[in-house]
Amino acid sequence: MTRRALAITLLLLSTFLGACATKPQEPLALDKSQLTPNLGKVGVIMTPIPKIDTELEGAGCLLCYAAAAGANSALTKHTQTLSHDNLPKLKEDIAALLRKKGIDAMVIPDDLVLDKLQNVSKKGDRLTDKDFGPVGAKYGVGKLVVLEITALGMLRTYSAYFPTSDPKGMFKGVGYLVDVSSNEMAWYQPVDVLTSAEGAWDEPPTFPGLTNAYFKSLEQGKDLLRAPFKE
Amino acid sequence: MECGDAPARRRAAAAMQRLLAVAVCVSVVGCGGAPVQNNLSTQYAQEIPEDGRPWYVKVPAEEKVVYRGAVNYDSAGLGNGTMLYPAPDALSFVAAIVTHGLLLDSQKKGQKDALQEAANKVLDPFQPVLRDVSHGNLMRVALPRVRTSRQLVLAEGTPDAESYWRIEVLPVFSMTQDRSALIADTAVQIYPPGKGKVAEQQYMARVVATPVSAGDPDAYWLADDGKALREVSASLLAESLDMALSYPVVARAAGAGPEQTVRYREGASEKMERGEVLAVDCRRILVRNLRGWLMSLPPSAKMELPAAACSTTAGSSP
Repeated sequence: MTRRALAITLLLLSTFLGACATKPQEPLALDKSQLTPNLGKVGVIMTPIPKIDTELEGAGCLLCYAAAAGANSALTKHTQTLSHDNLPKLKEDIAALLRKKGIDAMVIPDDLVLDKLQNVSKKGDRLTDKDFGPVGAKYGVGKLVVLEITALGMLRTYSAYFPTSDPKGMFKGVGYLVDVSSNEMAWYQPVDVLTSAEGAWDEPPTFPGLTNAYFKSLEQGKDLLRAPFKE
Repeated sequence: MECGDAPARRRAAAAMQRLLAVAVCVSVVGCGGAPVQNNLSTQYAQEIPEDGRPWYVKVPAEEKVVYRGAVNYDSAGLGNGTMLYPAPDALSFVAAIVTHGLLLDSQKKGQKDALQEAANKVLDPFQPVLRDVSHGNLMRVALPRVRTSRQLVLAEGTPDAESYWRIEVLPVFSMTQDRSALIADTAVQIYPPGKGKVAEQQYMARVVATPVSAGDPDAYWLADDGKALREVSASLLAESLDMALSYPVVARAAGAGPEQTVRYREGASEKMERGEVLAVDCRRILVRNLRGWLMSLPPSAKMELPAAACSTTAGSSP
């Protein structure tokens, strides 16, 4: 192998290993003493709401996934008709809680598309991967409460071809408070709520027990994201 | 009822199967769209005709009422993971897959059974009292508390199916893990005169009791030879019959009735249920859930109630 090829190989290998070694952000509790008018103007923004769907974790091989998708097709069809029950109102709920503490808070009506933000070069604990400076400048805020909803619907776990759980109602997301000038977070809270149906789950075509579980997960997820801003 | 006792487990399993059979029937029929009312105590809609004849209430032949611990299955499941099926030939591969499936099914069922068994331990202090709670005795205490204007009579023997309305009732009670509240799940089947074998209406009714505020719930339930356990059970059963006689099962038209997520207290915990609110006051919310079950629930502090809800005189809460 030539020296050049070796150098490229080592570079790629170190990049790959470096990425794998990046520590995921740990949850950060919100220091409530910071929630004062001195916080400055705060914008509350949400990422686009994902498609409400079923997730089949663990059905890793192609054939496994095809079998799992087929077995859950009726549930998937129903899940895709469910509503998010006015989830964007969560922004106003959090803004109202901030205003109760005398903070100048505003709801940003536009969706936050994270892919359109530039990556930051500086990495570290409490630092975001994306540059929120332009977002802050656009809306005239110094801090952002970001509500990133990553998955809604139903989750069922699999081991290859076989389900290892009944389907459950699912709400997944993360909330964080970021200073747009430094991209440093003062609060980071992943939320992962799974709720089982009470009694039987397999009740096609409307799956009332699982639908109930989904709406429970939705409410509990919203509660968890609101909780740090309450008294 | 000894939870570890085999005949008791068989009785409990049989009761749950009958309860679930009615639940399935009610789910198939679906939900209804009764108008929202704000006075829960007396103004139930009277949809079943009143012809002055007595209604016979039939309870199960089994003596003992089933009590169990309230269980949460949110943590149930075996996780996910890849699985390899090393096999020298196609037949072995199929056998490996089938074996994997059977093992997983058995593990999942075992896990759920274990969760229910663990939950049932909440009843251990009350077994001496619960052993003596029979369906007949419970219904004798409950019937005078039912607020309906209909004449309800506990059936002794087989009532004349041609002449009288008949209600068959099967309650199953759960106790919350903090021992502060009882929950009644009651299957109700209503047979009109002349239709002895075909139930005209079938209901599942759930009533969640207001949690007790006693510092020592065990002492509260066991005082005076378990009087509170029997009294609250009877009140929950009476409330279930009230609901069943007041709200018929009606097929739900598409888009009928606004749905909302209702927050209520179940013991010290806050729970939620999605459904249509039929009536509300300070102490109770009456909901028809997505399965068409009728539910009488104590609202949680976070539940936004209409301003008029607390201004009317409410009925007594179980």
